[in-house]
Amino acid sequence: MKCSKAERLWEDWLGGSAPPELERHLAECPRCREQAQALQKTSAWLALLEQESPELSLSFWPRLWLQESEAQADFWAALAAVARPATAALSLALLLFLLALWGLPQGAEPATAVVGDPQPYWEEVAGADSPGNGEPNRDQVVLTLVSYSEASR
Amino acid sequence: MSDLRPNGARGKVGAHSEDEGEHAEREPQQPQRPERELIERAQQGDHQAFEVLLRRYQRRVLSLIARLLSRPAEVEDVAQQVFLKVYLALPRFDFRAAFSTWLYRVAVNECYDHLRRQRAQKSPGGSEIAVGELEELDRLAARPSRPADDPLRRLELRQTVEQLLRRLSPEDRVLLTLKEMEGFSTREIADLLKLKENTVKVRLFRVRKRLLEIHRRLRKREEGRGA
Repeated sequence: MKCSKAERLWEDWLGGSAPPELERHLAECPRCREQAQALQKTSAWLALLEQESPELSLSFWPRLWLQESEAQADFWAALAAVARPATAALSLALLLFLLALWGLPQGAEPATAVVGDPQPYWEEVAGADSPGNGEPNRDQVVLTLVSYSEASR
Repeated sequence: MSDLRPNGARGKVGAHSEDEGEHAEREPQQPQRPERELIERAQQGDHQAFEVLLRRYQRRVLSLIARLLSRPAEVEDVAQQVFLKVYLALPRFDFRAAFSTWLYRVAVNECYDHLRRQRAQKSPGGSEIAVGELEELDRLAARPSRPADDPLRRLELRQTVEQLLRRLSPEDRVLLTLKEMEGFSTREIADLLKLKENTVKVRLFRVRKRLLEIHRRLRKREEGRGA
């Protein structure tokens, strides 16, 4: 076994349950033996610190419940402090939304083509006979407008 | 190497089961209420149920806090914070972990915070340690079964060890205290701190090495002063 592998075995060794491979390693590695003795020191030092468990004073529980009621009150106060501006902001947003709805133009027609509208004729004329630049010739335009006005009468 | 092998559970509080906390406070005349029932009642705001529940673990929690902080005057204040946090968070307790593990975790975290605050307020140096006590600690380790017979000397040594511990980081100190003084197993510490067991073992090894290094440096420094 390599010395580095012992790193995670020392706690087991200190607790008296090291695997046999560590014991074998300790028997042949003076550096790890020294390490083992040093680690034992830390356990011995901490053993000095054993002490009596402290007792709670008689006022412990009443003080706890007082603190609890204060904490609950603080919680609701904090919630109210957050809720008040949030409610105001929400109300304002709702009001603006309603105003926006109310202010929209009423009865606006959708932009659909109307029968008799000259625009399709114009586009048809312009697309068919223009010499490459998309512009209609003058005669065709006049003819189209005349036929449109007659049709709409 | 059997002469090096330690005694194992020397001076420890004992193995921990889920219900271990109540033994000291158990009243033989009254039948024990099931823990789950007490928790459920406390979750609904029953103060009395909470007190009965916490009294089962009170001694253990106080001992844990006292050892982690090593300042008796602060134990009750920190315990109050722990109990209050547990009470306020209890409605969210879902029984997936043992109540005791959850309670000790809250206590350990509160102690961490307390130690960190202390560390931030004060320099880590602390008061001076006499070189004689550092030497005595070395000798003590050679015969751990008979630490200083004189109670006054023992008290001085204890204060020296506390000074050494204060020079560790809060995390290191908590880890070592849980293992050596509170008698938690590495498995239990892993559950408590949400770590892998092997990580706990390796960290403990490194904390012990750091403690030894602190002792070595202090001893060297104090010997240098004395020369």
